[in-house]
Amino acid sequence: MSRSRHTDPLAIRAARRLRSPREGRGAAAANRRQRLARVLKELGITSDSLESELRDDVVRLRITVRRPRPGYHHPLGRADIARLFEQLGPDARYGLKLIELARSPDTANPGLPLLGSLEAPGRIILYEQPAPPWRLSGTLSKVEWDRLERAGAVLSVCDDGETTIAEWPGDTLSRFMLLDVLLHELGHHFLQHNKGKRNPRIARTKDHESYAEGFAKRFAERIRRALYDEEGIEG
Amino acid sequence: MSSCASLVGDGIENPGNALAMVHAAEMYGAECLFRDTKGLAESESLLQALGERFPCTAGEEIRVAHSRIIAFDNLPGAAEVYSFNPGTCPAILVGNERRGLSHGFRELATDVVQVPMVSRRINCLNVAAASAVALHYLCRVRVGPMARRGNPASRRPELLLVGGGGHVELGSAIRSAAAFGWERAFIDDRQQVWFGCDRVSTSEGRAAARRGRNAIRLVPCPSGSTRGFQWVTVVTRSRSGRPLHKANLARGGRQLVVISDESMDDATAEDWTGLGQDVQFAQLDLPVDDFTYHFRLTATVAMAEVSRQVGRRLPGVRKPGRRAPVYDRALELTAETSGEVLQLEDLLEY
Repeated sequence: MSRSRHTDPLAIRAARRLRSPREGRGAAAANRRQRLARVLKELGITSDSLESELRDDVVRLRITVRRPRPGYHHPLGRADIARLFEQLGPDARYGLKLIELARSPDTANPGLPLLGSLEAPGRIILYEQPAPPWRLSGTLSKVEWDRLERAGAVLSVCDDGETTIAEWPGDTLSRFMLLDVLLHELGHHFLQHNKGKRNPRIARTKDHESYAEGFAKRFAERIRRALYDEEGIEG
Repeated sequence: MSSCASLVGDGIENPGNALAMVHAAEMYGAECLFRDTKGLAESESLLQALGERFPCTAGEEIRVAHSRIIAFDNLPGAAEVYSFNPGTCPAILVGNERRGLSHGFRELATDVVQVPMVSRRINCLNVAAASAVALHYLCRVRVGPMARRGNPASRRPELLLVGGGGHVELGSAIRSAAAFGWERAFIDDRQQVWFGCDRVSTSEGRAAARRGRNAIRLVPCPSGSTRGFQWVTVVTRSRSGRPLHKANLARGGRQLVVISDESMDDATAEDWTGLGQDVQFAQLDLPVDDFTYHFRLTATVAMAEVSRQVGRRLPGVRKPGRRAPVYDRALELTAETSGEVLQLEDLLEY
């Protein structure tokens, strides 16, 4: 049976590509690895020690932070994002070029904050958010209402349904941005990247959204337990 | 500029369009005539609205009365309307809504002129709206040609259409926006003629906008909502601010051009500061103050001027490649507040 580097399991492939993103196609092919291991064995060097040295030399994730406008803030910091990726492992970082904490676009409606977006290939943008409480213009849909409540927001409607007030007690907003928004965008990236085609739209928007939603749900609980329960915070 | 121009409709079918053409001519102090081949003179509603004899003409009369006869249609080899010199007292010929000018009238014309369209999918305007654009540029203002730029899309401002007294008026304005290359427009639907209105109005309005062929996204922007634009330019019929063609309408996505229905309210009396920091007015600079107002006419003239300033791509400059997909995550509102999204399949029911 012929073997190809491209048939390596995702975890192995991701780790290898993160370690040396510009490596040639045949640089770490199985036969070369075996030949190298034989030479090293003859020289008395164990390949395990070499691999552990290489494993530490992983390309760091690029996170840029743009200063928010007055009245806005970034609920997440670099450290929060780094902690999330430590938990998710190399698969999640594979193909990710940049995470940007950015200002909202000028055209965005201040009464309805834009949370995040994925610009394929591999650029995740998390937008600045207004300082709580949020005054949202209009009534939230049932799905969004339930989602925000699950995330810990305290919601109320006023002005005959024209305005929704969202209170974010404690660190609920940063958790929401991490466990819902960032994981959702990561889900989009994961689907887009692992299809092997970078720029084209590889699924209908509806399917893309539902995959991203499923991805976020699948990992949110695990990450919540790992990040917050360890520190004694109720998830 | 010439004020003794004649607007001639050739084989116009829709009495509503014919009436709007009469009002467009009135707006620019010109006369409006028709070559009636579709039974327009028998339309009671039109005759009632005109309240006088139906203004009928024939090719020979036009040839005798005018030295320059301008065919206003998107025919091969047509010059662009913006920098065209029509001479004095031209006759402007506009054709049937679907078929354009008849062969006889094309033969009659001394010049052929068109409004440059940006969209490839919708290549013509409503006939009355096109007549207003023709009269504006041929009989009222003298401007330079359409700009040529490396990347005109970067200079295109956002558009907000406010009001639109009737669904057909707003629908025609949206059609013009799509034809002039907007892919998105904000709609302040004050009269509730677009989002969540009754089915008859909806289907008629959608047909006017030819939404089946448009790729334009309509974003509800209710009155009093706030936006963070740097420049807000409000187009008005009243004598406030700079003339439209002298205002800078090509500042890109950080500028919002507001076109408000002024059939009842004056746009200058309203507070627009919630939309952006720097609010300026641009006047249409019409020769007469007293005329029958149609939102589609003023809106299309304003959009034509924006389109002229935004310009078209320089020849030889390649269009940027297909844009990589972007997936946004924003909070969703209930259908009542986020507006109605009508799919093409839904239109088949009407």
